[in-house]
Amino acid sequence: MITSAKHKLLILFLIVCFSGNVFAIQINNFHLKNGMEVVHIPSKRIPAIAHLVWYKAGAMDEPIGKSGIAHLFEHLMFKKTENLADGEFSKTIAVNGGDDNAGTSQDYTVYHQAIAKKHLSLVMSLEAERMKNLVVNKNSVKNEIDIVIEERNMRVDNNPKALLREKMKKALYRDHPYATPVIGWKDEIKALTKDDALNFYKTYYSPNNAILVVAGDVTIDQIKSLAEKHYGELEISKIEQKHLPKLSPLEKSQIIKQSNPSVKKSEFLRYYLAPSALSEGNKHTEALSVLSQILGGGETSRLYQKMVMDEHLVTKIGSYYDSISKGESIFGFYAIPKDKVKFEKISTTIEEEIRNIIKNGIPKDALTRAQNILKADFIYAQDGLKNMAFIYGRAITTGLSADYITKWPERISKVTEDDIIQAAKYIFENKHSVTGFLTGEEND
Amino acid sequence: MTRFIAILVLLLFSFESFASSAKIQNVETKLNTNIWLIEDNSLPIISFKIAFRHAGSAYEPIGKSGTSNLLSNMLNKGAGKYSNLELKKILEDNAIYINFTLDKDNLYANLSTLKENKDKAFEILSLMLTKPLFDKKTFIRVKSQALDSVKKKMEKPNYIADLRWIEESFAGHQYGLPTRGYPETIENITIDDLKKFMNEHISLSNAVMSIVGNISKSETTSLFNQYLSKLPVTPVEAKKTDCPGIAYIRQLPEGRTIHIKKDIPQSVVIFGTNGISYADKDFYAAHIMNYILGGGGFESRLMNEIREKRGLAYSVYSFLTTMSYTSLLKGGLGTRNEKLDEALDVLKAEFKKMQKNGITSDELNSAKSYLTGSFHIHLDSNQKLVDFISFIQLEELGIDFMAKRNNYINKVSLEDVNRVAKRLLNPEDLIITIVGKKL
Repeated sequence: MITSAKHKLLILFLIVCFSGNVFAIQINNFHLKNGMEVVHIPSKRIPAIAHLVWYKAGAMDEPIGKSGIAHLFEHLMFKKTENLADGEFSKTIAVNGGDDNAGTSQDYTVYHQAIAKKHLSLVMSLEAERMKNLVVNKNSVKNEIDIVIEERNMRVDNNPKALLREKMKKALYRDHPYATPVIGWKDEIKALTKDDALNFYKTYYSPNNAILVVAGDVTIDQIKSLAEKHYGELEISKIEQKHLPKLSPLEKSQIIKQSNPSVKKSEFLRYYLAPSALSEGNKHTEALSVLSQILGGGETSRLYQKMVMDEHLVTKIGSYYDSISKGESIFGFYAIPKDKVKFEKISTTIEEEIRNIIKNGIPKDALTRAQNILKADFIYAQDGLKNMAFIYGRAITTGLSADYITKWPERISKVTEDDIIQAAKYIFENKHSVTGFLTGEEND
Repeated sequence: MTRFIAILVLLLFSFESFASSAKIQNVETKLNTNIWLIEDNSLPIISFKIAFRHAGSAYEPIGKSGTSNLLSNMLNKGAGKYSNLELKKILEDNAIYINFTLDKDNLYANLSTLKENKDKAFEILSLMLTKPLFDKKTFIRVKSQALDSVKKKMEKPNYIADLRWIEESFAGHQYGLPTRGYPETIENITIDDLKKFMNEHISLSNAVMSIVGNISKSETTSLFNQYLSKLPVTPVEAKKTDCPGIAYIRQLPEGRTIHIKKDIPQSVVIFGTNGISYADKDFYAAHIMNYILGGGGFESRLMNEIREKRGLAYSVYSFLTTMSYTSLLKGGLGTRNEKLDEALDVLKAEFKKMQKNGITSDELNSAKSYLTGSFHIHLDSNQKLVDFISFIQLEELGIDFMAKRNNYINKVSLEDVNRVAKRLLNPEDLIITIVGKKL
């Protein structure tokens, strides 16, 4: 660790050991004077940089009845500011050969650009400008609502599976903010106003609520001086982080059916509540990542071997789990049953296989293989300018440390058979779930 | 949720002034075939790609549409002495990724490996391409998976609209059939069909090979000699196939609008017309024209008029695409059913406007500036580089293409763009397919 006169600079090495070989990248982490956190991920591969600003504000922070405001606001950030005309932000990036975009989730909102390294100062000045000087006008709010409604139509309302997922999340999370879709409920999106947008902006958009991630061909000293210049003088505001309510276990299991004549093959979906790296039970998260790989990660997985290869129940089966969120996460399953196979049979077979793991454990080679795959993903993620910037940025914005990611491969290596059994017991044993059946016919 | 969806196909058309560090080397092999190599030692990984020309879906026998897709799904299901499960375990244990993909023209083998496991990776790839097991039980499973996957696609408005678009545009031509087949044609395919297709289409004689990453010229040569030289060398002729309709398409049929009824809130539109080939002197002018029309995200006219000014759509885009036997200018949008007519009117008006009045010099300069500045950013990984140099080879753009490409763009004049806009942007020629609720 190196300390400078003003701020501490933390240097971490992401080290992935794979069959005896070691891959390491250096991560630098420090704070500006005003509290804005900065992460630097060096890479000299191409003379370009990825510049990302993450806000600790997402759909979970929306006031009751204002669903969709975090995402609508993300769209508005590309509009007029005190010193930029409508659309000038993206136009400036484009004429300088760069790409830009943004994204909103439950926990955060991120704005990102990829551009030649000589333009780092330019993108910082643009991003700093809209952090504080956005001008929201009524007409752009109205127009942007129309656009977001089309986005919702495309992603959700045109798609029966997406509608089913929305209903399942509502049933799983109940009165928790994650029950509300990030894009928002249609009626509530339509009723959003300029004031709602401004309130969200004033409450959450501030350097002390933001994290800057720069990846690429630039030195730590260059980042430091530029970041202090552009972001370091911005005024901070008092941010009250919203605390997520404690999520009680489900009291009963629920089955939600969604029928639509356009569905040509039925689908099975199931959600269990699972701990995230920041919620109660987080000691199980690494074991759950490994478990998901063993249970439903590709053709060698337990469920694939049993349900596709041996019992011919489904043509597709898999599981997934993501530990990076503030609130409780989901351990999910999806399957495409073969014709005439009942949904109930899918349920019971998955449950049997989980019980089998809890009772009999897992063979050593399956554990090692799952660990290898997860670590290899981390090595391949280094191929590309933005990947590591997204991995680190997401974790830190959610409330974890850079060190959490850096040490992740090591923790994955240490997961034992017993850890997996304990984790499986924690989320599955005597626990309820939400199941979704997507069918073509009402009485399928 | 993102602000807009970047259309991946755009990346292929946005190559630009290339980072000097990446230089293509030509590795000659003893079997009279070449491998293009970019050595980049910044990471301990390697990406490799073979494109088998004329092994795509357009070369399938009549009534057997979906053959090349089934083949691509069978090749990695056990090979040589390894059962499917054994093979999958070796790949996972060694962090090796091998898959087979396809389009209408070609079938592709894609490989990623850690440097330390490269021999294992190439050994397995070679086995897959020379000794696939074609196990009967596996075939039944793969076929039912392919069927389900096609049925899932046929639920999606965008797929339905695009399929109808190619059916209308390429009626009577092999391009008019879906890349992954129809459920009923998939049912017809047998293991023998796959074996025959493989014998006729998978050969070094039509293989276009590219490799990028932590590997030298001599290492590439020895990987080839040891593993890939085992592939057959029988010549593959484009027309040696029992399917008709592989002729060059110079002109699409006349413009039309087709509405497919579906009870959804948003109408999904695919539109397209004749495009332009790389060999055409006006290709780069058209490339710039498309950027300004609908290829350049927020900077495009379609985005500005349809989304930003009128709020009619979230997504609207256009792109140029080239295939072995034709080239297209294509695009899409999604708008609420009640606004469909207005959105189509604006779309056609923008075609008309650019055809009639051309572009401005500001637009030309901005387009050049983006297209020449963004290239190296779009080639930030081994994976993207290997896809890119494979594309350069398939299009026969030359090994020095990366160095020259900037000049091609910069040389384009306002007159060039306006001339090509006159030629391509006839609104009457648009073939439009719509999936949505007809009001």
